[in-house]
Amino acid sequence: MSCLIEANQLSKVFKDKESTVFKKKEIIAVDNVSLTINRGESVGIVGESGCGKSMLGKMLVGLTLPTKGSVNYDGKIISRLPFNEIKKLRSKLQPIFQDADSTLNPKLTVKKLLEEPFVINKISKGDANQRIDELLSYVNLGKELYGRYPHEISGGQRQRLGLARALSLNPDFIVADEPAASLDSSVQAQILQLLNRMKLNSGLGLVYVSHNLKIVSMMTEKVNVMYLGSFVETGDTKDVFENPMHPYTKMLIGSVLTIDGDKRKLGKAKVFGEPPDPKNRASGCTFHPRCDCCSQICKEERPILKKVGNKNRFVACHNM
Amino acid sequence: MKKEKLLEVEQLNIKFTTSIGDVNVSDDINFSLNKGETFCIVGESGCGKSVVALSLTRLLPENAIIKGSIKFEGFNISELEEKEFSEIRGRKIATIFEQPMSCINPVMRIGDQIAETYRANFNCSRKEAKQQALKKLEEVKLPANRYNSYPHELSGGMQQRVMIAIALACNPQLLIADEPTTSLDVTVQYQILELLQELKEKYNMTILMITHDMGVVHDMADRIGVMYAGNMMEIADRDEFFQRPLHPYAVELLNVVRDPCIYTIPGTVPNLMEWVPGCPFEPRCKRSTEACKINKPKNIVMGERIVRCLNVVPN
Ligand SMILES: Nc1ncnc2c1ncn2[C@@H]1O[C@H](COP(=O)(O)OP(=O)(O)OP(=O)(O)O)[C@@H](O)[C@H]1O
Ligand SMILES: Nc1ncnc2c1ncn2[C@@H]1O[C@H](COP(=O)(O)OP(=O)(O)OP(=O)(O)O)[C@@H](O)[C@H]1O
Ligand SMILES: [Mg+2]
Ligand SMILES: [Mg+2]
Repeated sequence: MSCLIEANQLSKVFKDKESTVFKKKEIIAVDNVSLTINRGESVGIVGESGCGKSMLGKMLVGLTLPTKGSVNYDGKIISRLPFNEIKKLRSKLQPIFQDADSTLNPKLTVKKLLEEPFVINKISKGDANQRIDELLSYVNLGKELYGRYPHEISGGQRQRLGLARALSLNPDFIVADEPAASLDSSVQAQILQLLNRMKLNSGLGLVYVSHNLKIVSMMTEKVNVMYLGSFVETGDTKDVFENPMHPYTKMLIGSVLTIDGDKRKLGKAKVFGEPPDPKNRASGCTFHPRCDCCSQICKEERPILKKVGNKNRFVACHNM
Repeated sequence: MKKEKLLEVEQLNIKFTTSIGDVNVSDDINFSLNKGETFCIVGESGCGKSVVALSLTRLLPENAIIKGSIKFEGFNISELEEKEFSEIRGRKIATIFEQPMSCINPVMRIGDQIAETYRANFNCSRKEAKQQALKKLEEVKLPANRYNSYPHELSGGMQQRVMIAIALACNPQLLIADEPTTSLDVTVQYQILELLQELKEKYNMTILMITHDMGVVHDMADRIGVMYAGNMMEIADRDEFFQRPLHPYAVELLNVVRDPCIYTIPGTVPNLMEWVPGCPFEPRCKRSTEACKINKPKNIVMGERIVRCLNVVPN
């Protein structure tokens, strides 16, 4: 497999609005994260709200510049390119956003919205129309929607419209940020299957960002578990889900409710505390206040990702 | 043991009148809630789950036309005057939603909000209301020192708990929860559901829960109602439902949930403005027959189980 995207030691830091000349405060949204995505491979990023998943995804497609570190695509360091150069790559590096609605111009009809990417990239009308027909059948939308505006179609239809637009110019790489969160099970399934087909047929590289661990476990080959801006566990998806090692990964997987078996799960997992606040980071291991096997060293020293076992597994925990 | 019924809904029909025609959201829906149970309603987006729930406390907009009878503790509340009805809403039936900020006052300290709700209903001293509010905070596992916090100072999961505390302030007998955890993290969701379960057991509270997350249903529900296009297609006990769903839509739904990377339900979601003579699921149904296109299926009652389908094979 050839490498498609390579990210090295990415960090994204914001200045806190409350910071003063005397007391500088920072919000570290992403903290020294490295990962590679190969062609035809899908990589999951999971973690609680605010841990930096979306921010990392945006850096990977060049929508926002990292404070530190670099992103390579096709021999180019896209995190150094000027804005107009990145724009040229936009059709190849596509984000699918959490809120599809915000990317759709409310004044354009569904038809115009579908044509927009082709017009911007100066593709002939004939070719465009043929491709649009194809896309509509992929995402299972009917032409009866053509004349309507975004607010006149259902949430699930809007989400699929956004998806059709993202796929229109045969991207190489997609960051799908909760692409199916607000959809019911059957529409959600359609979208997941579409992304899977694209991955297999055209060697698409995919980063799948989600709270929904069940779907990540089925959609991806590798997974990265993120806590407060850093990866705390990475590895092959199957391994990680079968045998989670980091206490945070255990807690996350323990809190997923599934329909397998007859037993109810509530009351059995150990879930502590609130998702962390990036403004008040804990010392040492940032997870220690919620951890049930925390020792003195965890409060003092920050653990780094270390290889565990002979598989492709890395864990950042002092108690391995 | 005979189950005592808390709520009985019979022949509920709801439609919205709009400038371009009527939207039929509830088609002869019947269901009942036993005291102390959790009943979950599932179904595709837009099939009418929220509308049915809102109709129980008369929270629908003016263009809604509601027919049918709703009995609460054996008493027909659908004919009550609005003034009498407001005694029931909030006091006996409380509702929580997906977005906590829709029911929390953003500029009032959270403790005071809980206390106010209590005082408005029980007519007690400020001091006693504050005592009660502190007790509720403890019950929803918020530390007492959060009493004076404003909503924006809390995380989403904490706001959700404040809303639950407000809803519980009057010890309602029925709690309606419309997608209470959809926007939350799996960890926070887990904690909130555990909390609801605990409170239900403590007060023998009845919960009507709406969710599209089957994992949640699997853990919380005692019984399940499956809706499709304004019809209650199946009502079943939790174990029966997951082991052997009977309605073709319920079967497909569970297949998709088990294997979303392989399964889909072909076809499109029905248009609720179009009148169909037969079964609304017929165009997508694998077991469809000619009769399904012409005849509306009636409820088939098999003990506790109800299925609205012409082709159900009872056992
Ligand atoms: N423009 C900004 N200025 C300051 N802080 C920001 C900014 N954008 C994001 N952040 C912070 O960076 C952190 C990471 O945000 P991000 O959107 O990546 O989270 P996420 O993991 O995608 O969460 P969710 O699951 O809720 O979408 C958050 O704590 C957020 O508050
Ligand atoms: N005020 C209204 N006027 C006309 N139609 C309405 C109105 N409110 C709701 N509807 C329609 O009634 C139907 C049922 O809506 P409802 O909100 O109950 O769906 P739901 O099952 O809760 O879906 P979701 O899972 O997306 O929340 C929808 O098709 C909606 O478009
Ligand atoms: Mg995000
Ligand atoms: Mg709803």
